[in-house]
Amino acid sequence: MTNVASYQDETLVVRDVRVHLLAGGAGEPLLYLHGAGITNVWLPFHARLAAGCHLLAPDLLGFGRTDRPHWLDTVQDFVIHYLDLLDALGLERVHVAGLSLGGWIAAELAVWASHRLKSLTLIDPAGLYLPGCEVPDLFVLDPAQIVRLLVHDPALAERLLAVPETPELAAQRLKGQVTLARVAWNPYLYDPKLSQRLHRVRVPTQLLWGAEDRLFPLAMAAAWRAGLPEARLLVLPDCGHLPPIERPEQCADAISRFVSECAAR
Amino acid sequence: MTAAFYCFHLMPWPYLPADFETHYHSAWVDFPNRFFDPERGHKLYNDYLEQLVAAERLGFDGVCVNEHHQNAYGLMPAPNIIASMLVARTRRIKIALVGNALPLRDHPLRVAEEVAMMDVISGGRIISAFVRGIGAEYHSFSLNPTYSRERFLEAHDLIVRAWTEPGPFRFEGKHYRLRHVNLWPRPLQRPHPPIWIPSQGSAESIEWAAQQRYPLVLVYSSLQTVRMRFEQYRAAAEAAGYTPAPGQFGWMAPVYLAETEAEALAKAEQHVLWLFHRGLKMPQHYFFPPGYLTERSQLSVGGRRHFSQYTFREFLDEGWALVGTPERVANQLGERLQELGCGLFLGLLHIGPMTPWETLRNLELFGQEVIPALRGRPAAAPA
Repeated sequence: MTNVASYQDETLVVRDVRVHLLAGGAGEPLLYLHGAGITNVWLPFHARLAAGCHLLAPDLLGFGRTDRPHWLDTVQDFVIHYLDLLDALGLERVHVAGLSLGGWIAAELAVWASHRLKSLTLIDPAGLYLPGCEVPDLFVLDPAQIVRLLVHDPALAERLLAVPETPELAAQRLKGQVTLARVAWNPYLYDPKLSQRLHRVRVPTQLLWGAEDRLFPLAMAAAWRAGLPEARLLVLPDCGHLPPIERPEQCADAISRFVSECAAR
Repeated sequence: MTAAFYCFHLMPWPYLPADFETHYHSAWVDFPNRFFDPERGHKLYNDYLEQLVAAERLGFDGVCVNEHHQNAYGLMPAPNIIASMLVARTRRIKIALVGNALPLRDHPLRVAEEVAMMDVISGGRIISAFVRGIGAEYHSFSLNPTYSRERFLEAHDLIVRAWTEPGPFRFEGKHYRLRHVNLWPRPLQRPHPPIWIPSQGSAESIEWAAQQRYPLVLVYSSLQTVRMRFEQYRAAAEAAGYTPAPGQFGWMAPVYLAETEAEALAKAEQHVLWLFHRGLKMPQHYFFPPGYLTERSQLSVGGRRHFSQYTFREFLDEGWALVGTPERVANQLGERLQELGCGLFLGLLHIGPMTPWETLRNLELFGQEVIPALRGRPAAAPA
């Protein structure tokens, strides 16, 4: 597969929200919802995904260059926003993939509106609570500690930390933290109602999980499969919480394959 | 008018482990509670209560309690409990709750009720300051810091309405919704107990306090910062169409007094540094969890020096603390209050690991020598 290096960088207005969107490639439409903290950049992961589909990668509500509207309180508000976005883009049905917070949003979107989805890929998603599984409190860690927690390969973590942060990115990181706190401070990174609602997901689903995820350990995949018995699980070895960063090719290819399989639906 | 003098207390837990400096990054949130010893706590609380009760006979206008959670810095998670004991054990002085941390309460009517009860029982001696709680409290309570400001404003509106409007009435807010607000008892003071706003000085809080005509109490600040914040308040008051009175300007600072300058300096150092380097020790992201400050304010605190980076000398030179003989401190404080146009002084007279004896002497020197020297000195508007 060849990577697609060129992409459009655009800002559109969806109701009262300015949305910053990166888009590239052609074919099946795929909406990719990033995790808290990684926005705004066309990474090798995006380029590889765009080789097989029409990738739509917006900055999430309240992240990067997308506004945080006053009405944003819960993950369900993201669902309404993404339904509005699909309407604005004239897309009836799309494939959806999401990482971490984005995975939680993607799952909620499928709960409430499976009819707008062709497939669902959840990558190390937030959203569920597993008794006995203690998720570390990101809010008491400093930015460097967070990177070292989320990335399995220490050398990669240090390389990421060595990249200097521009003032614009620092401001965006702060904005993203506030948005994450707004929707996920308590309950911490989950919705107690979600597990009871997963039966409403009526779309082919796959779970991608970093085997060495220290935020949401692999054990949590079992909690997802309990609610989504038809979902397939692909475990990525030697990978932490951020497969799009740590295993970009493997992660992108797994999504692309699934998109192709489900394209006929 | 003359300035009013209050005795402020934190009720700290002074018995930190010997390796605190090196092994613990914070006295808050995750500093293990095994270091609290209830047997020692029993004596400590009762010593502290004695000190506050003594402030009445030593000539203070009032005493101040405050609210902090899960830390060694201050053992008053429930300030109204301490205040109610002081109501029963004093006759004349004001009792200032500095303050109840409104956003931390799921039911602000409880604050309205407790303050009203104490106001009625004390014969109208309660001052009710409202605070948001510091950032660490949002970690300790797992309470969403991004709602801190709106919960504060909404709880404030509910409490003031409950105190002043005939009930029953309905209150529909975003965070608090009550169909039957009908406060029993109503407070004794009319229209309600005075409200103070303690602050470290975010622009939003200062402007709001000025608009409401609530006294602003600056805590832990250099003289220069106090001066600047008071100017902001004055400007906001003028913009709101009035000239604020000296009683609307409050300043809280640690004070250590001794018979000689040398003794005061020698003894104050460890206490003042305990307060700023140990009691207030915590990482920046404990102090400012996401959304606790507006993004404008958050970006502006990024470059601010942490308390731990100041030396004792700097705390003195920049006016964070007052240390010396009663005569010298009275002169210094008198000049500063005059210059600032400040009519409310809250002296932190027990600091860190001070012994009961040392504290009573400090209270006595302040109450019997500093206050009388300053009585009658006008707190005029600044030049």
